[in-house]
Formats: sequence, structure tokens, C-alpha cells
Amino acid sequence: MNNLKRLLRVGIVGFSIYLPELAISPKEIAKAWNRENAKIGESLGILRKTVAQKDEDSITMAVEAGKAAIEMADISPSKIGALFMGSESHPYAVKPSGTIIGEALGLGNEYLCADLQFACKAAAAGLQIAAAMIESGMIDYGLVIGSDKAQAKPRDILEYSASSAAAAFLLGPKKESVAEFLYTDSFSSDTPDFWRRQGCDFPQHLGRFTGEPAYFKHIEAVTKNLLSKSKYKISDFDHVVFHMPNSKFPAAIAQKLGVTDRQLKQGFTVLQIGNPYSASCLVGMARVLEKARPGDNILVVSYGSGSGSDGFVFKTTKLQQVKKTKKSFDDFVHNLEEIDYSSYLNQMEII
Amino acid sequence: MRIPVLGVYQTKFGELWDKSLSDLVSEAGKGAMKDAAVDISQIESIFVGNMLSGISVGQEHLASLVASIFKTKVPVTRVEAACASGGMAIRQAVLAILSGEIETALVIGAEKMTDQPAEIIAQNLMAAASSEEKEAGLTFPSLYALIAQAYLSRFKASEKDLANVAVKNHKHASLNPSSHFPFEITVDKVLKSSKVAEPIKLLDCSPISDGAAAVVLTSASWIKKKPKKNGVAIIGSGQASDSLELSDRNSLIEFDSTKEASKKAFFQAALEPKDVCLAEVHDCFTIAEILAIEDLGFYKKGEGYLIEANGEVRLGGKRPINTSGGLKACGHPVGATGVKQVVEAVIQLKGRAGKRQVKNPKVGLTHNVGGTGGTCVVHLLAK
Amino acid sequence: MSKKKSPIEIWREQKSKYSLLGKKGEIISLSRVNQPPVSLASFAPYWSGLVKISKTKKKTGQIISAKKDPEIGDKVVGVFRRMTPPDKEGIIEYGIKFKVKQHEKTNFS
Repeated sequence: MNNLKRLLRVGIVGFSIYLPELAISPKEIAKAWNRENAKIGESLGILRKTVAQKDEDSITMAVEAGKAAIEMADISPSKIGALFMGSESHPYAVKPSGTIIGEALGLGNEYLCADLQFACKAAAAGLQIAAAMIESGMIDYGLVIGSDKAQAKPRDILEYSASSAAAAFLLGPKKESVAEFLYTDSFSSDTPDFWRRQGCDFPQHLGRFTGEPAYFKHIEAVTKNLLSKSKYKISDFDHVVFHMPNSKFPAAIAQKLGVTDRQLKQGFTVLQIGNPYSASCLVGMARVLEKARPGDNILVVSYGSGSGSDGFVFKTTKLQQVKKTKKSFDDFVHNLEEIDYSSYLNQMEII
Repeated sequence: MRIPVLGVYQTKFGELWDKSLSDLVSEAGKGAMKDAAVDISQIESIFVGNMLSGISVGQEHLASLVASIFKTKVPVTRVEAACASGGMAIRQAVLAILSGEIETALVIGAEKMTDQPAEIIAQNLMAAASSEEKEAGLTFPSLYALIAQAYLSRFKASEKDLANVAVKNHKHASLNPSSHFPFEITVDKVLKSSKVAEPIKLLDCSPISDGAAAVVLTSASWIKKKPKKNGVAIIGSGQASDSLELSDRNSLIEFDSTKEASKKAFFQAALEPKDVCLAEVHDCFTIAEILAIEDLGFYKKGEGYLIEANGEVRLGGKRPINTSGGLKACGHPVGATGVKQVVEAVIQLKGRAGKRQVKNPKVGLTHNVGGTGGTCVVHLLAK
Repeated sequence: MSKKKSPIEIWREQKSKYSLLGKKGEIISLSRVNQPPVSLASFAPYWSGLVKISKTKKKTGQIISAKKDPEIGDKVVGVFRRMTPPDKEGIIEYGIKFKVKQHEKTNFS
């Protein structure tokens, strides 16, 4: 962006994730395709991926996460001045998911709504726009939700990792926040690593091209820009969350940027749930907010194919110990029920 | 009151592929008039009970269709109250005669259900339920399953107790050549049948049937001019309503509409439940018969399932219920059922029931319900 | 010819339907529907039942229970779900189903 501003008025006043109840392991998927069992899971670094049920979609999950986030903030939904919903699996090509969510959550009518799309970082822009609107005084509260019921072509490598989840963040006045929103920056380019055309059910990707010229280049660029402009060093952060398409990519970029395992640990949610596209780094971020202590510095870096990355700097407050999620990431994970491949295909309506 | 029944007729009930709705209406109407020894010129008004003609055969102007069939210009009135359409049509005719406006009426109940696949019909029947119930993914078997589940749980009854009703009604139907299923079944067969909506299984459910039934009614003064031997008359008529959806009811295990409608009918006839010798009740599902014999006042709440087991309501017992085979085994062409029930009661009272004849009955009762008890019509008949 | 709900009817019912989101209740009666109406064919089998949501109010609705079969007396909460399998072109109908609460374990963090 043109100018790196230190935001003075914005923070996260409520947040929540939503995970569906079912999951499937890479081993189970590999069995169906007669691929060698252990290796796939290991090489991707994923224990299982979450599976939304037939009657769930990115909107239903967003509603559940949004409701819990508003409850944590303990405000009336009608005070929310903007709602941004980012997803790669918006049920409609034309008709906003956001207004359906707004109606279900009781936002009333006096709010700005926009659906966002930028592959896996669709919702990240929502955080930036809502923060800018609050900082400028245009709105008091903004609800940002990243949610996906990620579709992947059967037999494709993405099938092992593309999962379902939603993460909702309610931004509002700093004094009500569990974490202050301090800085954000972005880096964008036209890089065709992964895409899905209108009317197509499944995305396409360019294999190894999704690495160096895409994921790694953009995350590295925005992180370096953000750090140099804000004068933070990587070692200043207690927690770092990268977008997690699998375990390998974030581990590799972490090493390149000098991020330690300890910094990655709390937000490294891909191992437990796979890659829920627009909710990926946001779910990681939510877990960090659950596990952090007041005064912790948090760096979150998103990545969206096509391509771009956004960096965010947050700092937790004393309220982080007071306002708690009713159902944590760990609670959701412990209640997951693993299913077999044919049940998975049935739930995803592929058969 | 006294509304003599001059003639009755029931078509065969079943999957009548070669009969259209018009064919069924025509057969039943002509049959009843022949039995009454009257012709169409003597009929002053026709009442037609039917639920699905619009959805199933695309005909909503049934009144005019019926007028065309009988080549008459007299008033024809279509009556609709879901599965209580037939009983309500009878009642409307009774009221018209009591008003003095007309002296003779032909009442026809008819339904053509098998032109559409069963799943479509099941969905169409849900037009008798509420929006909320449809959204909950309920069909009639599952609505009655909620009732059955509550009853079984409350009185510690079992699915076998439900099965007894089906077995009894099939036994009766095996003696009724006009029934849809003129054969017996066993408890075991019922229990092994596929689970439609637990605890209701396929053989707990009445079938989808085609059929029609008709009666000719007249006024007490008309019959004085042409007295008939062995006459039977309607001596009590009651109708009551309740909420469309189960979630608005006081109780899941009793139908207020049955209690109210029967109270009115008994009052009019100056009779009590103990005076009833036989009854045709609305067993759309086995649980419905159990509820009916309790709500009509024959037995206490919670006793019904025990009575079904002890033979009292079987042919040969103290008070046979559903000698026609009921909805379960005689069949349930929706609009026809309420009229068929009156036909059966009349046949029994006249001693014309052949192998399924009840010994010397004096008073018969018919009980016709719409939906899950949103409407109920009860009639009492006597010699 | 199965009847599809008009989008206008869906829109009109939204406000009152969505008010059940997060509402707590108790199952009064229920049934597993194995033979669904045509419009819900791909969702079957599913549970439907009568839920008490206050001292005086009851609602019929679909019941969700992932871990074990729901029973009379189970505590439920209203959750946001698709009501019918989506088709290619029409408006998607959302609504509230009742999810059984007690089988979940919490407080792992």
C-alpha cells in the first residue's frame, strides 16, 4: 500500500471459528485411489481434513462463526456497520452471501455489505477494509468472515487437504478489543498459480509453480515490506501465522524468514484440520488469540492465489483473558468424527 | 335428527389403473342411486368429497365435472378437508336437508391417486400439513410417527401393539371383496416391513388407493311418503377442528377434534359411547386407531393398545372396529373414505355384510379425520 | 410435479424462521425419516421431531445429531443450515435445524 499507517482506534472485539463435525484422513482418501497409505498424509503434514455436511455450506458456517463472534463482543448486531464475507465457495455467482448472513445474524439494514473473492485470502481484505472504516470513523463495528466448503477434484492432490471451516472477526473500538489491530500491508501481482472458472465445480492449479513464484514470493515480499516499514523484527513476534495450504509450505517460509517452531506452534492449525481456503490463516489466527497472553505481538500473513499476500500485526490486550470463546478450536477438533471415503463423497454431493 | 339413508355403494378400492376419477364418481353415484331406487331427476343436490383432484389430475372445478357426469343442473358442491373430505361432504348434505332447502342429496366421495408415482403423492398429501412441518422434512407417516413415539413412550407400549391393529383390519378386509387388500397378514410381517419413519413401518400405514363411495340421503318427511323396510338413518352428526400443526396441540397423544366432534354427535343422538355396536374409525396409521377408540370415549386414554390385543374390537368381539378393513386394509382413497365409512355402517345395520356381518347391530359410528386431527367429523347411525 | 417453494415465500418467512438461531430446546418426540418427500431425497435418512422451545411454544423441525441417535428429552440448539438440497438455478432455502447438545465434550483448551 502507499503508506503504512499505525492504526490507533481499531481492534478485534470478538472472534470465533466454526468447524463442521466430520473429518476424513488422507489415509482414507488414499485407500480409495489405491495410493500408498502413509506417505501422502506425511508428505502433506495433515492428519485429517474437516468435511462439511450436505446441509452446510460457506454461508451456514459463516453464520455460526459470526453469531459466536458477536456473542463474545456482547454488542447488539444492529451496531455492525459493515459485513465482509470472503470465500472461494460462495453459493451464488451473483447474489451476496453477506446479506444472507446479515439477515440471519440480525444486522438490520444499515450496513455496508460486500462479498470478497481472492482465492484463499478472500476475507483478509475484509479485515483491512473494516479496519480502515473504523479508523476513519465511518463505522463503529465491522464483521469479517472467511468461510469455505472447499471443493477439490477427486483424485487430485488437493483432495487430501481442501477442507471446510469458517472464522469470524468482529472489529471495533480499541478499548473493547482482545487484540489491537496495529498495521497491515499488501502485495499483489497477476500470477496464475491456482484458479477456478465461472461454472466449474473444481479449481485447477499448476503444481510446483504454486511454490516459489507464488506462495513463497508473495509472503516473503509482504512480510519484508511490513517489517521494514513498521520497524518490527521477526523475533519481536510471539506468534506467527502463515496461510497454510499444507504443513510444508508454511514451515519452509518460516525457515526462510527466521520464524521459529515456537512462534508457529499455536497457529499451526493445518495439521488438525487441513486447508479451509479463505478460513485457513484466520483459523490459525483465532487459535493464537485463544492461546496467547496479554501483550503478545502477533504477525499474520495471508496468501491468495492469483496472487497476493497481506500482512497484519496485532497485539493482545488484558481483555484477551476476559473475553473467551464458548467453543475453542481444540473443542471443535476433539469432537470431530472421522468418516470413510464414500460418506465423504456423499456429504460433498460429489455422488 | 333423523336423516334416512336410501341407498349406498362402494367401488372396489385399489390400484384401478383403467378407471379415471370420472369413472369412479360415475360408478359410485349410479350404484348408490340404483340401491336407493331413485334416478338423478329425484336428486336435488350433490355433494362431492375430494382432496387432491387439482394436484393429482389437474381438475379443480370438480363440482361442474360431477354435474356433467350425471347430466344434471342441480347444485353440486365440492367439499374439501384433507382426509375428512368424505365425512364433511356427508355432514354438509345432512345440514342442507335439515335446513329444509332440499329433500334428497347424493353424496359422493372419490379419489384418484395412482396416476402419479407414490413419492409425488406423498408430497402432495403434505398439503394437509403445515409449512413448518413440511420444512422439517415430515411426511404423514413421520407426523404420525411423532404421535406413535410419544404414545409408546408414555404407556410403555411396543411396536407389536401397533401391529395388532393392522392384523385385525386385514382379517376383516379378507372378508370384504371391495377392499384394497382382501388378505390376512401376521404381526411378524408387520414388524419386518420396511421402516418408513420410525416407529412406523410400511404395514402400519394405509395405502395409496383409488376408489369412490356414495350414499343417497333424504329427509324424514320424504321417507314418510315412501316408507322403506329395514331403514337406516343418520341420527347424529358432529364436526370439530384443531390446530393445523402438532406443535400447537395441547397433547400429542389425543385428538381434541375427535373428542369434540363425537361429543356433539352423541348429544344430538341422545346416545353414549357404550351404546355403539360397531364403528368405522380413521386408521390412516395403526396408532390412529388406538387414539380413536380412546378419544371417542370407548376406552380410557392408554387402554387402547391393550384392547386391540384382547380381541374385544375384532369381528365377533364386543364392539368390532373397522369391519370394512379400515383405511389400512380396505384402502384409503382420501376423499372417498369418509363416505365409505357410512356405507359400511349402513350395510352392517341392514344386515347385508355377508361374511363380515356383525350380529344384530343397533347403532354404528363413523369417525373421519383430516390431517393429523385438524378436522374431525363423526356420525351416528341407527336402524 | 413436486411443488418447489416460491423464493418470495422463502423471503417472507426468513425473519421469523431465523429468530430460532441459537434458541435452546428439548425434544418432545422424534422420528427417523427413511422415506422422505421427493424434495429431500438426497438428505435422507434424517431425524425430524417436535421440540419445546419455551414453556408455551413448540416447533417441528429437523434434528441433527452427529455422534449418536437423538432421543426424547435431549437438549437441542437451533443452528443455521440448508433446508433443501440445492439445485443448479434456484434460490437456496436456508433455515434452522435443531442440533443435539449433550454429546459434545468441551473445555479442551
